Amino acid sequence: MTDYSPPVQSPLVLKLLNGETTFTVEISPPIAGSKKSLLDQAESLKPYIDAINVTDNAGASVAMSNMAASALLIANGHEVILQLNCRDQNRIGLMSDLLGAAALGINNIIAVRGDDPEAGDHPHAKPVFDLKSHELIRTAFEMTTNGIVPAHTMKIAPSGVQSNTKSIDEPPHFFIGAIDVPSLAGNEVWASRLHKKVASGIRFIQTQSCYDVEFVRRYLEILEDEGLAENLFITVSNSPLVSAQSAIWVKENIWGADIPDEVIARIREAKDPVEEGIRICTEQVKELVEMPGVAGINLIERQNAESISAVLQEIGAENG
Amino acid sequence: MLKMASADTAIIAPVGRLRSWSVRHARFWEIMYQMFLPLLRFARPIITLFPDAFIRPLTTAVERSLKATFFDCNMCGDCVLSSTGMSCPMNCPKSIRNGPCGGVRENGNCEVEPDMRCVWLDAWSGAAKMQNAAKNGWQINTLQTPLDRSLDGQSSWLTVMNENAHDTAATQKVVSPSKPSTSPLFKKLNEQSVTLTAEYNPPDTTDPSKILAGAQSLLEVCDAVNVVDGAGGNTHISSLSVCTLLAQAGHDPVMQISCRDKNRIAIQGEALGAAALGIKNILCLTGDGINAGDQPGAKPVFDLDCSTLLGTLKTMRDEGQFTTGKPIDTPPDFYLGATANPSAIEPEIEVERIAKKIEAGAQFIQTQFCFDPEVFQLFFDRYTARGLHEQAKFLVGVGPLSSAKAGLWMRNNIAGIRIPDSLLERLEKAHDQKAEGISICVELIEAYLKMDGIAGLHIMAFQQPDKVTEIVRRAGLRT
Repeated sequence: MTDYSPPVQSPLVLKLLNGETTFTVEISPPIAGSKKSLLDQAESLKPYIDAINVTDNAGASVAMSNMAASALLIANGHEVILQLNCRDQNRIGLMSDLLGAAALGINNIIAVRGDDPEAGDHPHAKPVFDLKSHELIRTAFEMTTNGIVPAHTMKIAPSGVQSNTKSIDEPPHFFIGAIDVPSLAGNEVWASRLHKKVASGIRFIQTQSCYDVEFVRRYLEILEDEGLAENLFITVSNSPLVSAQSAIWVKENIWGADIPDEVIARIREAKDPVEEGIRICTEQVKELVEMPGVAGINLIERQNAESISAVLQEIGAENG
Repeated sequence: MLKMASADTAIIAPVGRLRSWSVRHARFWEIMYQMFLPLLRFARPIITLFPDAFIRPLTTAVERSLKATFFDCNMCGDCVLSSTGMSCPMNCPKSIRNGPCGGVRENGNCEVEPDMRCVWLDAWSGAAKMQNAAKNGWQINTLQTPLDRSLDGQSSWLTVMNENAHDTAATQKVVSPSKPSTSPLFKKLNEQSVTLTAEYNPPDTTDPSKILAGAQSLLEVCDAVNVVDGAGGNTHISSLSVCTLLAQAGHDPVMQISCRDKNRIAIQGEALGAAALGIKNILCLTGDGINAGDQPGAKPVFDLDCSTLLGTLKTMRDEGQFTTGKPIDTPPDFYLGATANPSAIEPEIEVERIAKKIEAGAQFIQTQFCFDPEVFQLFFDRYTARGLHEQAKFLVGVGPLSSAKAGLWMRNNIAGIRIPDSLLERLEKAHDQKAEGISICVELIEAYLKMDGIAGLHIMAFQQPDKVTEIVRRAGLRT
């Protein structure tokens, strides 16, 4: 089985191991050939967070490569969590990215499947899906623990069957995670998939956006019952809503993101929906931080950077 | 895995024969098509009387069975048979829409499937038989755009039927002129008499200092290094990340992008990232076949090919948008390159293929190894006669052979490489084969540099930087 302790290469992991709550913000890199907007945004978040989580062409829409964005962020003193999807690259591409990530100082990886190309702005692109997300996890895990580039197949050469594993000089130290959808928790398919990911080597879960604290509590209980809670750090995602309209959009378009009607109603009835969004998010985050089993909070940026800063300030003030 | 593939080819051999019959009778199919096309358009008002749910599956089924029989059609949904000599490009294992690739074997067979004749050589011979070659210029010279993968499995006939005849004629786009590049490599190519680039195969390490050290030794004598992207289908550290380290250390790398491992979403994202990091030079490649490398079970992607990749990056730079029309904030400033194979068995086709790449956006050309000045001359005369050396900077690929045995291995295993027997014999007889290999390389360089139209050299010596230094110094190019 996957009996290894998380590599303590990253300050983020150290903090998690010490039982401190971590704060991360998930951003999508800009659709730009320049670094300014990315670095400006990151700079404003720096005082409040432990790491920036960089999406990989999220929603199947082209944005600056997250490897490049991560390299820029690292050069400016940020810690990053790199997401890698299985939609856009085959195993050769993914493994070369993993090696490249390690060389650039990226230690935290989240493996995702990725939305189908039809969901995004390049519906004409070819969906790759060579590896499944648990296979990508396994790949990163084997690179870390065995120091090899794994072979998923044997090569048949005239001289016979050869294994094509090769060793990596200075193996990477990946802290590997996956995205999970709490609203699916409890059903059998969900359980078997998550068990597979855990067996493949994940050490943390980042949930899909959750706007219902009680829901998270139940989710954590289910993880406990499944025997999954023990070896995993759970970071819960949330994000300040800016209007009832955008809340409905998130509910309908982001897979697995469930927003209770009461929350939408509160935003709709508020005089200042943006302020109310910040207030709701702050309340929920405060409650989540106190909840046993919640290792960290991840705020997802969806054109609400200012609200996110406001929430982080509120919480920072509270903690300070 | 590989054995399975050859067994499959044996089973489908009769179908393959019918496909080559169709290519041999391309003129017949052209006449059929010319008769069929007006018929399709004529049928349109009648067909619209029936519900789509009835017509679509019916047409698709008829089209599929007919075209599968005669062309081994894969129903890509965007049929270009009449522009490709009635040889379906989707049967190319790299599904190249603008071919052939540089890996055609000496017998004209495919690099990936050694028992199959190159689909694109077939296409060119089919095109020669078609009337449109004489009348409207060669349709096979048309630059094909990236294939719309969402059409997979759909009927092309219905698309043609619904198309306005007027629309198809007006597809030519206004091309905006490119601004002069800000790339240091561009500057050197324009100011120096001989520019030197070297191929860099980074070690399998995650230690940035080791990665930088390897490139640094090459940069002592060369102007820039090319960072390979999964060369030979093997898993190595990503080109983007190595180029990032080089750019951060103040160098001007050439980032190679291959179409084998990434779709257009990932590639365009990487291109934007490269721009943000100050990486200016991008060499576009179709990429070696999967079977050549260490991951034979990997899925070949080939969403784009070299030419469509060039076009995609050119659109990003010159129009400030993706090919879909979505705008880009601060468009990238790329200096774009492509590859050529001077030893290709059909030099005429190779020259036309490079002309297509230049049309698509290539501003510099780096070639595969060429070990035979006579073969090179044959190719290069055609190339310069076409005026292509004035449209893109041309760098000839050279490199040392370390022994006769290594040379033989290269000839047999690296697609598209030709090494004359006389050269191997010379190595064999030499007292010190390594030194002889370097002497041969220096002689080749001297021969190439005598020719007009050569802007520089691209030196490839797999993980032997000291050999590169020796070659450059002995050729008297740098001190």
